[in-house]
Amino acid sequence: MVKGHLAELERHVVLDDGSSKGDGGQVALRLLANLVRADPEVKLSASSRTFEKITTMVLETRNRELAKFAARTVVLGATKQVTVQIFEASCCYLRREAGTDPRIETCGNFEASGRGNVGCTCCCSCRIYEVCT
Amino acid sequence: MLAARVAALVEFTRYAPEVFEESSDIVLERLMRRVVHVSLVVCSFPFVLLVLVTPFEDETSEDEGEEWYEDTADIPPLVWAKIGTLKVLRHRCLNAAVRASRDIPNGDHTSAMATEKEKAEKMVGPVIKMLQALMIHEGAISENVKEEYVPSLHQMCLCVDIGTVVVRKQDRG
Repeated sequence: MVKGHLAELERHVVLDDGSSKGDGGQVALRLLANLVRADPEVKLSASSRTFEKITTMVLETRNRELAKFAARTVVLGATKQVTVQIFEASCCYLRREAGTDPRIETCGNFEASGRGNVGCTCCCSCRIYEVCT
Repeated sequence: MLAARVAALVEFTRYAPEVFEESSDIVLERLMRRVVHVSLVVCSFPFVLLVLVTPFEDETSEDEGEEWYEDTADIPPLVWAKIGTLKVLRHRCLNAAVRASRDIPNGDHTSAMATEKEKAEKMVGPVIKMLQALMIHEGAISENVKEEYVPSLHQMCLCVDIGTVVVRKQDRG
């Protein structure tokens, strides 16, 4: 039964564009976060769309609550490997904003591409996210 | 954007402390420089940082608890970022206290616990000093960073936070 609810909540989260306030997607995300917190055995499906969506929320949203519950969902509902990747990408924001990380200044890929490469290791080890933009 | 990023970091600190610790140095350095040491006066917003800190009574109350200030929509992002930073520090201290009191199976129990306790003390000490500084400087991290504040609530919040760290450490110790 939990799996059925989980899949349904994930579907709502994926379909949400995150632009409107108080919509179903955000509610679904909050429910999802509480579900994985309540039961440690509950894990997110391996759907790449789900992780892509939640990762985007963690890394790019300006909505504080959305970022909070997306991060909670990842930390409690995903594997440690995914958690580490998203955490490093999240840290990257602070490093990047600082503008003082020598690795950023000296990375040719970062300078040349204009928006960073997927897999760019110029400012962090988050190899799968376009966080160096 | 910053407030959202800090809110996400709070979750990592709270639920994945071992992951957070791997990059904690640079994260905390950035948070201190970019958030805590930035004055709210710069934003022209006469507000108190610590009035907004929700008392931390148990693991679940933090999310469901009422904010001390009702009109949360009026609160500028920098204040949320500051609150988030304090939560990051608080969770880090609590996690350190838990690690220091955890049994080490099949190992050198005494030595391992002593090491963890030493680490916890190093971690908690500066946070307590920072909270003390916030009290002494009436809501600001130093004399150079002035905040508007409400003394009574402000001091209550600080006591709650300091008490939380110390009491939790003793409970789990």
